[in-house]
Amino acid sequence: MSQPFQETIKGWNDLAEKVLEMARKRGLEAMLRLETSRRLKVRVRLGKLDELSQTAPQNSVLKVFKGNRSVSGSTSKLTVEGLVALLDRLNQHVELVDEDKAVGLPEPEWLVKKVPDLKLFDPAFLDFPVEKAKRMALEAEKAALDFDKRVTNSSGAGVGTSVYAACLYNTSGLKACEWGSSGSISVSPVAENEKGEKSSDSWFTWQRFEDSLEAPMTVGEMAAKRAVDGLGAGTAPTGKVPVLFAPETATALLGHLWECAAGDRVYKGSTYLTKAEKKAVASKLVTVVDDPLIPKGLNSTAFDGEGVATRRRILVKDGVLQFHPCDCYSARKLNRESTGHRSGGGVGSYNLYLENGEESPEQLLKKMGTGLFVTAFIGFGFNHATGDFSRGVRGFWVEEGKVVRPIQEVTVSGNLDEMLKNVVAVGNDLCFRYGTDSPSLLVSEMTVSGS
Amino acid sequence: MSELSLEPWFGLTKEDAARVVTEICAHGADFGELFFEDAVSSSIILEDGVVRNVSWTEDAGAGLRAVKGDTQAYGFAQQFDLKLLVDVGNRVGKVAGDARKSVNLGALHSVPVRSGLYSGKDASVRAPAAGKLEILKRADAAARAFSPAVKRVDITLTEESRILGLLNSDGGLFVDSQPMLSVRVSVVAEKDGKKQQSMVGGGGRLGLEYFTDVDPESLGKEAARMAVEMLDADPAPAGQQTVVLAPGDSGVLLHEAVGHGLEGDFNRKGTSRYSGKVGEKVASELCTVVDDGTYARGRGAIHVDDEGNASGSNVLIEKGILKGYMHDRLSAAHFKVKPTGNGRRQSYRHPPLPRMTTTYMNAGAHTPEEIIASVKNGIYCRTFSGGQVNISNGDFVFQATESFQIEDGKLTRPLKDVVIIGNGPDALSKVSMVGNDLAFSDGRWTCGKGGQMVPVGVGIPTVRIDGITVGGTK
Repeated sequence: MSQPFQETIKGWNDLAEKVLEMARKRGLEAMLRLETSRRLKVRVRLGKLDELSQTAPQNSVLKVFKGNRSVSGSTSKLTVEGLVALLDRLNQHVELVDEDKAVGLPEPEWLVKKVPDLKLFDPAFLDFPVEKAKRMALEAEKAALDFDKRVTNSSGAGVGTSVYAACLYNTSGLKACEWGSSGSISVSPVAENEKGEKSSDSWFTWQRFEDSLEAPMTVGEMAAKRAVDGLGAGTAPTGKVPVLFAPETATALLGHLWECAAGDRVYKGSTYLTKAEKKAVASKLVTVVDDPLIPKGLNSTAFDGEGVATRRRILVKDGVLQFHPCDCYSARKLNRESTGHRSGGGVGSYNLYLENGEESPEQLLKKMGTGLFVTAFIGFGFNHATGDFSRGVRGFWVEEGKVVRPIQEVTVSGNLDEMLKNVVAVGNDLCFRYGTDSPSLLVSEMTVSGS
Repeated sequence: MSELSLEPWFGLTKEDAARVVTEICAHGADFGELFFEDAVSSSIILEDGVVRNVSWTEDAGAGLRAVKGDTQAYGFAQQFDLKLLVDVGNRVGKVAGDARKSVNLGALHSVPVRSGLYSGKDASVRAPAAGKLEILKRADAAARAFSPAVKRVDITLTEESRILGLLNSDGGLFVDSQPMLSVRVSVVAEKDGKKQQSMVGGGGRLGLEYFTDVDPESLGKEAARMAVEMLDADPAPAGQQTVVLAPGDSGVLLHEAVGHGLEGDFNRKGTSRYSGKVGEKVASELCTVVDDGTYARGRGAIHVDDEGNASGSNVLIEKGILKGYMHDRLSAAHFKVKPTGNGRRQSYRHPPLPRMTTTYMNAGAHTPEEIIASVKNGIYCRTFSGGQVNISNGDFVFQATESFQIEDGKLTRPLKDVVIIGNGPDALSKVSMVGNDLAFSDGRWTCGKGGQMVPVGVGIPTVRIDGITVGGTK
């Protein structure tokens, strides 16, 4: 099995040993995360190279514990001097915080024992040739510009690759490393009609392995189709109608559901789902899974930000919330075990998806009859405490199951709790594209504001 | 200005930095630049009355950029090490070609920069934390004392100090030290099975002296007031409404409705709703909109942008007529105009982009009372959680977290949070009254673009807009 950053990781092991030993000498427990990546980003615009960026960032995160008190810090200086300076500063800071029974390293039995090979690394993305990336970006943009004569301009097309490694160590003997890769192609064309109205849109593909990426041409054509389809958009009538969320917008509803179910919001009381465990939070058609162990999965990882082993879990079964995702702190606040969801500075999901239903997108349009088909959001109007949802949208007005015209300057509003309970059909078009993914969702009624 | 040196901050002499910039330009780049940053920040988190964390973050590095025509190459290093920087410079510079060419850097000189826009010479980030804890506890106590419905108070104080330096191939040199303080108070209120959460914040380019002007108690009380008040909020109406925007925070409207669309990169590329419209009427004649990097102590205040151009006060729209765009070096060169001091970046990890600083609308003639009294039926929006814009078609949204029904010229019931959607030029053409009460948001806004976050400010007087879409449920 090939592995990137082998030498780097060897150096880290020594560095971590020294820093953790220094922590012990100061009477502290500690956790140290070291990470690095190599990134290539190529952007082209109208057939020419626009931007080339090659970087190799590194960073560290250090958390120290003194009994039931803890503070954290980070530094980009991955040297003994840099980390010990940080350690000494944190050693002073830890005296300032209050005792908190929920604070502490993970229980030893929660920690990952052996890191399985989840097939996250494609050697093709190491030293990916700049010229090849440029060719792919040019091809994707050209496909968009050639798709329709109304595609008159471009914000550009990009190809990015990244190869990363991260290791986590703590003073109770944890040492876990993971590495992987990803690549992406994105295209952002602008269409214009005879009235001079502009419509921009974009599309992308993002995968762990090069051979899983959609072809540049496919991405370009999809982006162009979306931009052209949005031309001549009008508004929609204000009123209560059914709303069909395409996968690229349904993912946001799923993301909000996760945020509201997460243990950190639950113990703070800042979610409408504080008392929802084992209760209905969605229609019976809704089953949601979080699976961090999918081979080649976009957000796959065998351990979380605290070294806790991850596993596949069902968040919502037939509409019923099964558990509150937790990191160590929120788990102890809620008198339970960590579910291994410390991620990105909070309680985060991995490969979160809503299971496929049975109907095709066309069948869903037909089932909706007259209503709004939402393909993009604009803005972020969501209140976690109440579930109130109000966002700007783009998409299409649908009558008798047929797309009638594109719409813009329209909002859809409702309450997430009601929206999820009013899911009357789930599409069969689940695709792992964002890392949080849903098939199309048909919601029986929401308020549309337009003209 | 006295002889400027990089060495005390970044351990590299001007001559060494010039060596790196020479390497960046060695393959024929039109322009090369070495940008230094040494940033520290610390956050104190008071969660539900418990001091949960006193964090410390250090991030230092140098960004290297080569520009050839409209093409740029970027790289960075995380050590101020001459050999490493020359290596990265060599790689970045090759975007201009393979053959080595001779390089003539301009004579090294300090670029003109503004001064005195930040308060606090040294950021208070390194000051002892004990006094800061006291401040947060005062805000916490005030929030809890406001009402028994207040169930939880979370407060975060973040202080930051960024030392920035730059040398470019014109020989231009600067060093700037930017402080930043931000405080956030969040309250969860519950009553009769209903729940609400509020968030208030403030700060700017200053240190703890912020709290000599703003009582910690007032922040806590305001967060509590808002959460408790919104417990009784009614659903907002759906559809076209007359909207009155409160002074201050409502400037988010300008940021989204016109600001982004007037950034030079979108217009250089011709992808903005406002492209090619300089000299045309794009707003009601009551609207004069300015982007001002010199608004002192604001989050958007800068002595110099991240490309070495002094900040400016730039009129974007004057009495409804579009006057010009906000530029970075690339877009200014494209339009053959002077840079406007809007080339900003999140950190050394990113190349600069045209970004807003503090964007505001000039005051008008009406009193706020007159404006509210003029509305028979509409909504009044006071605080916001953010917004977004679609550059090409001009659609923008902003989310009001605190708004009120206006009935017969009076504010009556509080309304649940709503999103308001409009189209830039259309919405600004419907501005029918502008107040004499221009106010600026207390620093709390961060703008995201192209994956980069930068602090910004907004300001606006009370404004009446006739007919804009409100995303309520009723």
